[in-house]
Amino acid sequence: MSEVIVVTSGKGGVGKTTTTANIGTGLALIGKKVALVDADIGLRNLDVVMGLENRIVYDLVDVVEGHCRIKQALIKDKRYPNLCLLPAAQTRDKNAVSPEQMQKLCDQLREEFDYVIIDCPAGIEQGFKNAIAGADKAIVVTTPEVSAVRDADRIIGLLEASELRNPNLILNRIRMNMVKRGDMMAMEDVVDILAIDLLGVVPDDENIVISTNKGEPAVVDASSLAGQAFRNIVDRITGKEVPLLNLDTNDGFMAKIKKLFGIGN
Amino acid sequence: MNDENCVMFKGTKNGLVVLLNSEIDFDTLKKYLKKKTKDAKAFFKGAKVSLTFKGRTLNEEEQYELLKIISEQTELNISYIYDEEDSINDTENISVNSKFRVDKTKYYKGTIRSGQCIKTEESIVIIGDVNPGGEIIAGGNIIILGALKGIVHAGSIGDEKAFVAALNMKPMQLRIGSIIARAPDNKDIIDNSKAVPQIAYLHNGNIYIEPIDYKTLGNL
Repeated sequence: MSEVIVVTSGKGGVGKTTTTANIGTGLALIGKKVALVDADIGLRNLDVVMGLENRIVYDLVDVVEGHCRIKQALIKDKRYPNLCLLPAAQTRDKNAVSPEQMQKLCDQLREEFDYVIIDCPAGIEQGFKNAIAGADKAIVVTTPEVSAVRDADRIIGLLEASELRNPNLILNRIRMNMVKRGDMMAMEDVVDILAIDLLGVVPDDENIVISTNKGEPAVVDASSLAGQAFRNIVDRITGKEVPLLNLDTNDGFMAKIKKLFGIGN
Repeated sequence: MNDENCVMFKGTKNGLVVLLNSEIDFDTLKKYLKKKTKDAKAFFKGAKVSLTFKGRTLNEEEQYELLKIISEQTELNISYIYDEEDSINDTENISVNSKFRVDKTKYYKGTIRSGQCIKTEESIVIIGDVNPGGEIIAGGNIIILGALKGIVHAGSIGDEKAFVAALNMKPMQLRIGSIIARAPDNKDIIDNSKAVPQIAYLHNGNIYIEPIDYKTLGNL
């Protein structure tokens, strides 16, 4: 049973592309056949984040317009044999593709792959409508900021209106020390407002910036906390039950000792 | 006049109804009641019922006398004397007595999210939250079984008696009739500690928000 998942957020810059890259790579690492689709036509990024930029020959628009076969446009990632990327066109805009064409494309990819992950552009216009057209499931990414949560709320409403019910939530870039000081929305606050199931929480991690610039998703890095969070999310997507990551890394020495002996907390 | 029909017993789902003739004088009526209850003594034996008189307006003294006869003549255990006018099953009476208009009410289950809007000319009950940016416009009352963080407009067609009730009242903007109130700009003064159910209503051109309790509801 293959699944088409769209990663969306409404607001830009909350980490849709990073999330797509990490989830896709994570799924490929555990042996699933994965296709990543960049639906952000005109502002493509996923290829850069994946480090596959200079291998693009054909793109998504070429496929839907019939200039090439789908196999020709799919870029195989040499590091992860199960992973393919269908890049977006850079010289066109969102109107180059229609929702019907996207649906057809997703159905074609579905036959080939276990998971098709679509990176949705920011906004609620044509690009969003295209990206969600062929999806069975949606993942909403947000950061613990009022503006991002507001946009996520709007997006969830639009997803429900498009029959994509029960989207899952990824809360990205949370900083536990700020939450503790009361300067950042806590996980509970966000879940309370959005009232959808939480798929995972990803901490704000410098490694993400480094790995994004290098073109190697953080999920591969065993020492990265954010990478661990993404590995857990991947497990949850495949149906495993994994407890939420303990993000309290700033515990003092005494707190760790106490935890060791099972007191305190 | 058939003597038998001056006093009649009738069982209903609410209890026993005693139908009394309104034309004969009270003393004759008492006589008939005495006779009738005596005859039916075995039938009433030990039963526990609630009871009402019907067909004749009785003052308290008369009612007491009739009850005395019934309890003397039978072993009927009268648990409650009810007034047919008060019967809680009678919704028609509630609507007549209510100061609020009782109109058709719509129900909506789910979260009203940013950018979503519900418009109705009737009253509405939302089972869920109204998130910031969500909007509800109703001709009648708005009741939210959840948190109100968006925009609501009750009595949108000009009903100044409309109210808004919510389990957690934190609206961006609250309108009743033609009056608009909004959340204070200084967020520090909003008490986040514990949400209590609150009700907003219009009084002398001002919107008041108060906890839903016995006193507030009495004032409505």
